[in-house]
Amino acid sequence: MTAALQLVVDALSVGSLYALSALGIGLIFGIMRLINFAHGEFIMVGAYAAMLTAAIWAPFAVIVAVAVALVVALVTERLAFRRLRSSPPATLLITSFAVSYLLQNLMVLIEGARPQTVDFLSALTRSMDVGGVRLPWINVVTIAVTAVLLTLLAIFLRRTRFGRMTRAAASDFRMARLLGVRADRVIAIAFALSGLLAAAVAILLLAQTGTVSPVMGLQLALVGFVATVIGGMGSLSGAVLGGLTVGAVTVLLQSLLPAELRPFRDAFVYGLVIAVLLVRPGGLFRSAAAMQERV
Amino acid sequence: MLRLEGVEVRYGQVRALRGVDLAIADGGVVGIVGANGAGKSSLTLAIAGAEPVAAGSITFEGRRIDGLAPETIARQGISLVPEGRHVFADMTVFENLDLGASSRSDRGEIARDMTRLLERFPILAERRDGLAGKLSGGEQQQLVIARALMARPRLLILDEPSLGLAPTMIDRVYDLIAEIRRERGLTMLIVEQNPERLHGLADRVLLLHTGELAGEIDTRKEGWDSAYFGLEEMPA
Repeated sequence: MTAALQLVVDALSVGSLYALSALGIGLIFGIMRLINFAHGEFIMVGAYAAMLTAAIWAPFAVIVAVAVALVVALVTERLAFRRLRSSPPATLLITSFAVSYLLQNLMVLIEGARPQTVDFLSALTRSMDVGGVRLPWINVVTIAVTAVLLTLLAIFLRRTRFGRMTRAAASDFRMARLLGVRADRVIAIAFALSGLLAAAVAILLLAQTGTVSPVMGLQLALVGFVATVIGGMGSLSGAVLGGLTVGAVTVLLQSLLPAELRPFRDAFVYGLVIAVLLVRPGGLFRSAAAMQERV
Repeated sequence: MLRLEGVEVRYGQVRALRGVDLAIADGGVVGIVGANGAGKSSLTLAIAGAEPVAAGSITFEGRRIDGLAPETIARQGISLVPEGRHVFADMTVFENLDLGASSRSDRGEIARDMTRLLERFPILAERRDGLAGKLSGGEQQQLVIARALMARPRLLILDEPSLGLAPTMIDRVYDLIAEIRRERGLTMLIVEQNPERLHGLADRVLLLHTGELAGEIDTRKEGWDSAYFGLEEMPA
């Protein structure tokens, strides 16, 4: 029982980071049909910003991380993606790789290629005892922060006018524009939200690992992308559920696989992804209504 | 109100529209009929800014609109109900209607228009909080027409409002369009495959044939169905 609870919390914690990453990628994909691999670098710059200001005051570092990731996301959209908005998805994808490598190498120039460690919110790595189960605070905080962020985002997307416009644009961009939804504004909102989500992942990840490196975002961008595919490309709730699922499967495999197979855990994860897509090419959580043809 | 001069739309080497000249007067209703692939949807999308105009010009209320973004054109008073309806399936009927007013900021008036439209379209009032994707084809068509009206357009473009609907539902949708026309005196451009649907509704009906306007037709004459497809001579 205690082992099961431990496993659930671990799965939710890892799944939360994946879900936040997937949502950041899913938001942009829904609107622009851009698979933004540079999302990993939004996470990376957020983490570096937090690391560089961590010594001043942790809450200040959090604010700086959010501000930096948000600004980098918006600048990226303005300088790299806006002009290519009507280009084929392949052009956008290649551009996102270019932006990703540019940001990585800029960071190598500024801070060097070596991973760096920092003491950031390290008190959270301590554990609490719940009915004999030792739960690290950081896992609980990660789940709580994710729940709060997803709730706030859901309120924004469902209850506000801009939120509804963002959802409409993610569902059928051309129709939304034909109704008067301003493309520039809604894409800027999506990139801002994507930057915000990246900053949240950066902060939580930094608190968990205490390490930053220029390539730290790559794995998360890849997992985030896989999660959006599993969830059903273009579906925001699907991206969240896809992230949670990939996280849960990863943790379960880590725990259940025989020790000699554990180094190959990711091969099993991606093998399952292929199997899922063979059975449900549209993703696990995509509704039939949402699968209707786009303009 | 709307004037097209020598409008051309191209898809690669294919010219979907060739030298289209068209004028719609304020308060007028013009019908465009033609077979599949004649360029009807290209015409509506070009006016709404969703397809680039390769040559020629489009002016609306004296201002050039070709080359403008779709949202800018929508904000100038043109609403397009595109072929295939395009409801936001995962959003509620209310949310779909509210999105119709995306070009407006007068919240009080928007709320009043919403109340009026829900009275005007009782089935939408009934399904107000249901998902638009769950509505029948006819209900979705009513929704997208109501959504377009939420913008308070001065020109309403309807692209094949009868497509994919059962005959009784087509009658209902066209009765609705005629009522809206009577109530609001709205300027309309209606694209259809079946010219008989436009009889009594449009001031004039023009035939679009392989991307070119081939003149005005009399919707009372029979034999149009074959003529569209080039199977026989068009009725004189």
